[in-house]
Amino acid sequence: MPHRKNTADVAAGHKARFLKAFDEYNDALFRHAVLRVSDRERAVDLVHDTFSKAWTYLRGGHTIDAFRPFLYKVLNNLIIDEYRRRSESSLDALMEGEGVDEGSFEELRESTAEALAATIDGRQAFEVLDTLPDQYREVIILRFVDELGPREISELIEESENTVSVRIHRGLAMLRKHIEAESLAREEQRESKRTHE
Amino acid sequence: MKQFHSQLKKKAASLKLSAIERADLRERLHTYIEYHPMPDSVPAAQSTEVASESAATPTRAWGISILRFGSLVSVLMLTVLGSVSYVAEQAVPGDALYPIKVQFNEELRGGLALSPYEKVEWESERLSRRIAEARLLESEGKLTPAFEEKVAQAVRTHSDAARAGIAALRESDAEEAAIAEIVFASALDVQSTMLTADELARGTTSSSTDDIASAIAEQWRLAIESQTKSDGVPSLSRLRAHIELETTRAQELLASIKPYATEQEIADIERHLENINRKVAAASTTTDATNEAEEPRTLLREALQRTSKLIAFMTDIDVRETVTLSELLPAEYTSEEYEALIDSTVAEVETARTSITAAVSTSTDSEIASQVEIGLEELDELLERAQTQQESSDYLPAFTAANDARMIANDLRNLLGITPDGTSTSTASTTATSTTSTSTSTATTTDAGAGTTTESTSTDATVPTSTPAAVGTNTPPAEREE
Repeated sequence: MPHRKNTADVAAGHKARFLKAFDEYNDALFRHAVLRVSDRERAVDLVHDTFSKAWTYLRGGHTIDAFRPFLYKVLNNLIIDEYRRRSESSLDALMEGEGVDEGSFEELRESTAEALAATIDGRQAFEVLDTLPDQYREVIILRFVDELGPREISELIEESENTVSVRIHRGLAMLRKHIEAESLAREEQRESKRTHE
Repeated sequence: MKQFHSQLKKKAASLKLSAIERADLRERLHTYIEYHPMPDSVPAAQSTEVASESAATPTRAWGISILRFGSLVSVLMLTVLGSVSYVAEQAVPGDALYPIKVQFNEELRGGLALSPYEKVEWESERLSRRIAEARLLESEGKLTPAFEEKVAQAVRTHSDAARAGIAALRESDAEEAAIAEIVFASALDVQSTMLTADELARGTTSSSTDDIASAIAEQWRLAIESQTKSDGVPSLSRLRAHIELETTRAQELLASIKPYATEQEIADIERHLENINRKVAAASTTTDATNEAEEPRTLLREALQRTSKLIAFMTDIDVRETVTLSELLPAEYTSEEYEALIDSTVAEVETARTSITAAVSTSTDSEIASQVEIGLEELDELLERAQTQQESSDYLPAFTAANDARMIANDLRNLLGITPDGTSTSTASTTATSTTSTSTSTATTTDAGAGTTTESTSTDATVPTSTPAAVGTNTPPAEREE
């Protein structure tokens, strides 16, 4: 008898918490998804699937203590599935072997990452984000847009914190390279225009 | 790092869901939650579970599958295509599997080796599924205009496909094509009745399902048009044969649902079946029973329409939940029944009239006399109207007019204090409204009653009995002018 009074409330409580989590995180999740898959519609679907999976999880009798890491985890897995479904770029395939080399000492230090980042214009970096292989893009976004800490990221992507640091470093380096390459290309264009006039 | 961080973050902040996207997403999730409720709250969950499952697959009703090959397809889906396809059958808009249901499962099923006739049936089924989904979302306030447009479009697409199927069928078997036409039109009729019932229930004049309703009305109109064009077809014998099939099927359905349906439901359905059988019998006994004769064929066409609708009612839980049987199959007497009804009513009125005029001539109250005079004028007018309408076979208006005349006659009799058998009561008229006259005011909402009780001339005749308070508009199919 005492139980019966609560069952409806419990269910309603689940629903309310769930919907609240939706309101809180839908934007952030969407943003993350769009930056990763570069496809708005797909991103919306991924967010939907993330939440519906969370709901299914709740229905299965499990509890979700902290929605944020849970949702990010689900979303991330879905994004990985998405990538597997799409054709692998040769660059991505190349990157698979990266973990063997745990990175040079330089790459592990936070300070070098800082120094590196200081030389990069964040606005330009945003524009060339989609040139990064997903492995690097993932951590850059999680670190600088979603603002997860290194430990959170490592738990999320199931890699060591070292690997996370290395990837951030390499991601930043690549971003800078791409930005420089682009501005160089633009310079050359302007040059050729001038010489032709 | 700080600057890089804030710059990047700021840029990224420009990516967000638009208000519409977010609202859509929320709705999708709401729908998802409704369809997969928490198992803890058992009573609520169960009822929505049942309702949702049947809405998603309106073919399931009292455990019976409407399409004969339905179970074969299910097995096919489960074993060959895997469980995803099977589970997708339950999907509704908002589910990830919904596209699989619509674009894969349904397409597959349509492509199976179905006879052309079955193909038309299947298009009809798809159409009603889309509408059922829309109605479900609408009832929860989640029908977006975008989806409504999709459904209206689906109505058009599936109707076109059905018509194409009918045209193809016409090449090989013109009569079967004509029958398929009738059945398809009935299906559209059922859908249209359901949408109207929804609207009435909601109490709104305009609604978000308007587009869908008008798409259906349009298709129905086209269906009726093409039906009237094909004359001589289908032949009497062909119609009879098909109705035989369908009524047998209806009987079987009735037998199988008996354990689950209520007594009232069973009684109603049986009555309708009797009605239909009588119609069929009447068609056979008309004097001109040649294969091309118009009247018996019209009767049989109507009988077929009604049988189709009856079967739809029995097999589709969605239909049952939205409309009552009398809304779907309005009360309808055969022409003979109407004639008999009208004749007896008119006779009754005329008898009453005689006693009224007799009574008023001996009355001394001038006020009453003038009231009676006015009343008699109205009565005469109604009688005349009833006669003209009866002559032009406008049975329902004729019957209504005759009935109205009878009501006036009753009032006048009460006014004069005379009883039906003509004897006057000693007291002058009182304004006491007789209960009999008010009870006959329900007479206009007729029901497919047993028809036999209508011969009585007593004023207490509460016209055909077991009226399940059918307040719906009772326009028999023949009279509808949309």
